[in-house]
Amino acid sequence: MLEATIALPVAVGERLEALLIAALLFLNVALGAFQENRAGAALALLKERLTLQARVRRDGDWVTVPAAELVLGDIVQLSLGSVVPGDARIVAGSLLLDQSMLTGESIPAEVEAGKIAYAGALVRRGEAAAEIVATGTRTYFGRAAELVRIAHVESSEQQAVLGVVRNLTIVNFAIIIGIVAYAHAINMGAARIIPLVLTALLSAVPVALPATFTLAATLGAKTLALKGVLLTRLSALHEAAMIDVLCADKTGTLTANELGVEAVRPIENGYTEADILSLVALASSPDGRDPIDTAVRAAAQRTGPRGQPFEVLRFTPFDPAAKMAEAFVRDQAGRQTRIVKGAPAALAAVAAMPSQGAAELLSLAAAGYRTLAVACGSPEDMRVVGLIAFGDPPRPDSASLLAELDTLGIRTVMVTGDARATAATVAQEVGLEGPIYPPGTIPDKVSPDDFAVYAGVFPEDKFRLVRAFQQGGHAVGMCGDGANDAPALRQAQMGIGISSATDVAKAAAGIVLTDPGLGGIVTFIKEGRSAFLRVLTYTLSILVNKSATLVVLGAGLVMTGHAVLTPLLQAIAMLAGDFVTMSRAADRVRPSSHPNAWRVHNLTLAAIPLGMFKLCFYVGVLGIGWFLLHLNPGQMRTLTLVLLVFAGQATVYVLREQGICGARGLPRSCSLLRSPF
Amino acid sequence: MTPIAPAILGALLAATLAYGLALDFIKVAVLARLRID
Repeated sequence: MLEATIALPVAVGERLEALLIAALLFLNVALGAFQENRAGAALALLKERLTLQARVRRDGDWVTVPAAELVLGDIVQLSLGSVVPGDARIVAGSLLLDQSMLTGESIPAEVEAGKIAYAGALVRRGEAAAEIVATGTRTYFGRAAELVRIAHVESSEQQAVLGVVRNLTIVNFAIIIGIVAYAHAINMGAARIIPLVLTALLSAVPVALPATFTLAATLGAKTLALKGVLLTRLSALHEAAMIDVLCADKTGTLTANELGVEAVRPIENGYTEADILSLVALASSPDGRDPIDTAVRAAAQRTGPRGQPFEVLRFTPFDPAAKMAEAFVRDQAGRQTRIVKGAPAALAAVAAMPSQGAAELLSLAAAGYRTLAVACGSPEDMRVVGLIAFGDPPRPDSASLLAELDTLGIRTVMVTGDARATAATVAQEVGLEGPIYPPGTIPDKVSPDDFAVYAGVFPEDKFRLVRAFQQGGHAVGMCGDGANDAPALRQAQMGIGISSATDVAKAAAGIVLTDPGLGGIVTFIKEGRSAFLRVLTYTLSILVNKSATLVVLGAGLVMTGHAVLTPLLQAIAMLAGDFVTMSRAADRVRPSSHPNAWRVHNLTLAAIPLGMFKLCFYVGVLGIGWFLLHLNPGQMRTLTLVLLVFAGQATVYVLREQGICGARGLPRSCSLLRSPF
Repeated sequence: MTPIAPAILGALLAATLAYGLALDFIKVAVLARLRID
């Protein structure tokens, strides 16, 4: 429609008007160019990761080929530093795999014969031969890429703009038809009707509406960037105002994503927790490559040295096959002690587990901890002396953050691939109350109040869960860090890539946090709600102003038999109205304490009485000017222009907030007094 | 644009202020019945 308002003045030789409108259109397009296509960026990163080389056995020889040339059944060699080229089942050997680029989990996973190593994982330790079972887009990683491609949710902002423009177009088109019909009936002639139609079109089009949305988001993005929150898509800020459900990933989002010692249980009499930690630290590698050893040594360092110093005679690092690490140490008296740490089941071959230890083991496992047993003594007489439980502790700010989100009307649920017991422990620690979702497929529709924790979910389930909440009419925020979270991040109205997120997750997300934890999310939601209120009151002003202006054009025509505005005057009124009103994008507002939503129907209904009142004011003033003051048509045009500017500004200030305009003190009510100037 | 008398502009200004104040009360009444956010 705006393009038509450029063509019309060109057709009738009004170049200045055409230039003005073209400038406005250019401003709109330039601001719109900030928008980005995130799916394209995410897919490009996924593809980049898939261009790998693989060592494969062909015709009895080991050769290096691009991963894209692998076929099902190929036997590949996986060794330290290599990247798994396709989903592969281990046939011989075992590996310690860093799957952080897939899952965001910083803790490497042990994979042995019969288990699957996923494409994209990095071999941190060990060597293995593996059979390719899936390649390309059929891999775990590739499926995520496919989901990213299809994941899509229509922006509520786009829907709102379309709804407002649609309602305005219907009303305004009917008014324009009426104006043209009346002008034709009083024999105005085409030379006068065309400028009249042009004036009507100019007054009908909400020229600055999309630009104001973009401007509000741009200013919000600038504020957020200073607070450590980066927007990858401007409209994400408006979506933030709508969010009423937040799906928080456990690892790295609610927890610190660092393996730590959560509990120490001495079993043998005479041993304290500090003694156990000191012993295990002796059987731990100091090189910092094994996360369990690092956690043990850090915990032992915190408790300080215990008893007499030991000299380590021999150390055997953790053997994935035996599931143990051991050390031989000698005290100052020259006595030798063997210390073994490992999986409790594997340690049974070294020493028997006392009944007290078995009970402790069960209780730690029920709490979801990963537990190691420690045995020590002379090589001939080994005894299990204690248990050490490892876990990923909650971040210190998680509980307070979740409470704050609750006060903002946002229901938070934990979504994790971890076991139920682990998830339940963390949920309890951060104050997330509610039932845990039972194992099984996520249904098509879920209420966020049904469950507080979704444990043991696969990436496809996360994506499905976001859609299930959306089916129930909820606007969903999804936190994630791994590439496997990318589809859910893309599907959610507000995809949040946390600071440790992989590049793929960041590209799929609408915002990226630069500081660890979820602190940035509260800031983001408040800023989003402020931006929403700015554009909401702007939109109400536009709805009130636009239709009333068009009707007054018709009323003036009926009253005087002349057009009460020329295209140039309308363009001036537009500059003084629409584009001055754009300053609302930087207005001071108080964010609401509940999630916002675009209620275009109610917005339109609210605009009707306000617009009718404004119309009465317009018609009353024009009537006084024509019938009482007997102004000539030229003076009537001046009066109409001044009237549009005065009343338009007054309307904008009054509609700035939803309460009484002057209720918050003189400075605000003064803005109304200033409005005509 | 054809000039109009300053007195008319002054009257229009006063009328606009009255309009703004009245609109403020109408807005509050309307938004009390219709939730828009």
